[in-house]
Amino acid sequence: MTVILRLLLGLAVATFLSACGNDPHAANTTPRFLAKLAARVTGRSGEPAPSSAALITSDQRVLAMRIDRINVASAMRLAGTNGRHETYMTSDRISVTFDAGVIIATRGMAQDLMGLELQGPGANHFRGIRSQTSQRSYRYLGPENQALVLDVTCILTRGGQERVVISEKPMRLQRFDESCTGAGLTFQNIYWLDPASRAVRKSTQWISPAIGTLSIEVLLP
Amino acid sequence: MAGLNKLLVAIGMFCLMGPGQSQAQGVPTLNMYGVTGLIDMPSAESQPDAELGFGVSWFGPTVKATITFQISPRLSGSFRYAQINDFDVGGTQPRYDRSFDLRFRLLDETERRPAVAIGLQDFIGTGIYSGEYVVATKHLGPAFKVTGGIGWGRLATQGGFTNPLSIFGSSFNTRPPGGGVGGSPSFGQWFRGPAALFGGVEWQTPIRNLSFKAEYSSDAYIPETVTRSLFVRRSPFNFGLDYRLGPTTQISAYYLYGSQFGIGFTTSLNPTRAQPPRTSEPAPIPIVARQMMQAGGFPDRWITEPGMRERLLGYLQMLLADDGLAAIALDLSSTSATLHLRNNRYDAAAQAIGRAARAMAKILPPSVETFTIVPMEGGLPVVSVTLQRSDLERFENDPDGAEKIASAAIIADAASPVASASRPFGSYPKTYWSLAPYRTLSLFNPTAPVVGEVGLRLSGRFEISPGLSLTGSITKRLVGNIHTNTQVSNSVMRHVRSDIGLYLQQGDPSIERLTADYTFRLGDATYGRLSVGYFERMYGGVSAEVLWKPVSSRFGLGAEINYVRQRAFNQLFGFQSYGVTTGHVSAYWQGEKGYSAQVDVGRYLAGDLGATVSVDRVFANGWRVGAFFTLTDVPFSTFGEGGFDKGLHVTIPLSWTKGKPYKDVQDISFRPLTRDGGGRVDIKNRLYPILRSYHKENLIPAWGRFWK
Repeated sequence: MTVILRLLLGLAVATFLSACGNDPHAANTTPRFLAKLAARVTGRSGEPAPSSAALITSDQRVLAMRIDRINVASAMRLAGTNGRHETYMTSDRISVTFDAGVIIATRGMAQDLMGLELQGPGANHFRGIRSQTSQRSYRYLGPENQALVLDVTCILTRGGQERVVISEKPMRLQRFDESCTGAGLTFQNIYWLDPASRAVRKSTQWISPAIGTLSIEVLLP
Repeated sequence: MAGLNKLLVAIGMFCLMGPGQSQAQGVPTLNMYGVTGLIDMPSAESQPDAELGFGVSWFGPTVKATITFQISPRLSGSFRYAQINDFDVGGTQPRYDRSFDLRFRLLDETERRPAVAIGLQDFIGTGIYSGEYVVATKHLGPAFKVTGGIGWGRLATQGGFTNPLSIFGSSFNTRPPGGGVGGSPSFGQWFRGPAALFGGVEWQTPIRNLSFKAEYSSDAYIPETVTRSLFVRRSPFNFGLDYRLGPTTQISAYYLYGSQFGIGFTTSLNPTRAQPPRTSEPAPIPIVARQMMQAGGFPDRWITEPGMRERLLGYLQMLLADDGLAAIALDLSSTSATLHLRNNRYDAAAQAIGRAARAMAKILPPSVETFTIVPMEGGLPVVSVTLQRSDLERFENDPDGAEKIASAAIIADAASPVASASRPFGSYPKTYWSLAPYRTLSLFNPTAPVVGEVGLRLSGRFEISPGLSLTGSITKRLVGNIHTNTQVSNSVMRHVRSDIGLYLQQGDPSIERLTADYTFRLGDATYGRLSVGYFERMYGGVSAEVLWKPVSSRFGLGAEINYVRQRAFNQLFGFQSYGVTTGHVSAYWQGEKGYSAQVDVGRYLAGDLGATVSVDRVFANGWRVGAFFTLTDVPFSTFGEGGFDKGLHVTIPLSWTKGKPYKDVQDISFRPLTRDGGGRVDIKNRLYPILRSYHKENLIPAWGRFWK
């Protein structure tokens, strides 16, 4: 019996032991248990919230992105432009792709939005709107790598102008609220637009059941 | 003490399988036999398709551990390991028994009709648990289920009556005796002899997660209570409480046969259910559309610019390395590029190809429109995928981008890269090494409930050029009880496999493998392998293999010939006197619905002639669950217990367990016994398993990962 106990103890210990070496198949297969634990205790190893003006020194546009459910924030920089679509990335490689301020894809999250089919005017999403109904189709990757589709119906309504502070600078922005329902789910998106340029300066947008919403602020150069 | 043993089995198995999944709906409960049912009796319900259940139960003298797989929505199969204490040698020795079940759901439950299933219990074992049944189950309201059935064999030893099937002939009246070495299907017994009725109810109590069961059992436990006195059976009625710890995990307490208390634990996994999302992988590089590339970044005639190719290859290597990829060779023209790719990370080939394409789109000059990506495995060019850069730009953020890029891609057989002075290979020679703990755990052993060991493995691989490599590994035990097994093989055949005890006792440290291998492309869709060295613990020698497998074909054909010598028990460099020429012709097939089959015909290690049949269910995420058997010209009586070689295997990809890409998998085998008939030399780099994950039948189902 003691042999069996020692064996089981050994099995448990071996589970958390890392391999060493340069063989990618062997070296990285054991969980970095302690790092994970530390990340859990400290709330994740991500970057601190980018509130200071120090971030706004680059000539490239910088976004602040927060995963609301776990309250972790990161700075994002433009990593690629493909037509209308702009992809921003954090330094620990989480990316968010926008179409005129609307999130159409994420990568590097535990449950990524693989794609979003937006019915409607796209770039002119918010132009001249008082209230508008649209269909959206969210795409995910299933456990067997198949496409999972989540269809929702959204109602976008123009709100009032609100005073919003972004990187310590107060501004007046036009608020839009979007309420979506479908497949037993209900969620809200909020967009704050610059009334002059009609660009989305700040938003809270739903991504997936596991991730919940992301909050984005555009910290302009 | 014995009780603790049993608990450890349960814990050990649970750790092996990982935690239950929280997203699943509750599944029908498993009974003490580890199949869907009441307490000791089966029901007509099925588990969800592809559910892989594990159950362990204990009562009186008996412990049972069972694995049940829902092979298709209607068909399930089970493998069971039972220990009955004091069963043998005048009540002094336990009996270790292995049994297989099959069950088919004939009818689905509707509003007016119950579900009906037909089952064979212990149909190729030594027959202790042999019985057949037809059973019906109906829900009466959401919280109440009633089950009734008719049983034969063991399930007709209480309240038996004349077999109603005897209207088809008097031969149904008597059940011929079973027994012997077991292992062969006992067709002659099925549905014969007296029959009996059984039944029971299951009620979901108002207490959350607690259900109550009661049944009338048609099993009188004759071998345990009449032939032997292992416990006193006073009643045919059993009662149980099940408490759900999670949607697929429960513990149970039972009161059985008027005298016994029992406990049970069951849990299950399902390849088609996602693990709770908890980890992530780094995002890929976005596609940078060419019109967005900085103007003037490349000179017009960049292709002739001195040093340009080297610079591009250098940048590409940097980006690929971030994603666990590497360029072996890059051939460039002003309009096209061919990348021979080493994939160290992604089990889904489409993801490796997608990430490589993104890196090429980021680095290569705008005039390069056609990308051809050729992943290489063990030096073999396994597939060629040609993509148009404008399609990558167009479909990157398309909601149906995966299907669109798949139909635009040209997927073909690949050619080997050609090295030249101006285009040296990016990564040869290359040395890999690792020092890592290893674990071996065996739960269904004939001699002890848990055997295993933990030790260190030092492995190394020296890749000289594409396809040519030296590979070795050495192990050293740290703790374990595998080697303490002093049971000596009683096999009357040449001990080609059954001296495992001697190898385990004497081989520490051991040279697990030391081989020189050359894998190469012979021609269109044809591949070859030559190996020499110590292939595995017990055999070394020379081996040659050839495989024909077109990228778009669901069929493959292969042949292998080996001359091997049996290695010395200490597993160092020496050999024993036994040498044999073995070889097989193999046919491989993978169907559209996720089933695959393999047939190997040839000569086995003991010189026996025969064939191995393997059938697997294959999932697009890399899971495989399957069974195999080997029949050779060795008579069942010469083979010994079990009659012939057979078993189950489960492959769980690490990427599924951990939620991010790994190429490694966890292989779990359940082999009732390893004896000397039907043994094959274990060659680690056979060609078909290397190629198949890149070929269309597996590449396309996982293509959703292209943009991941």
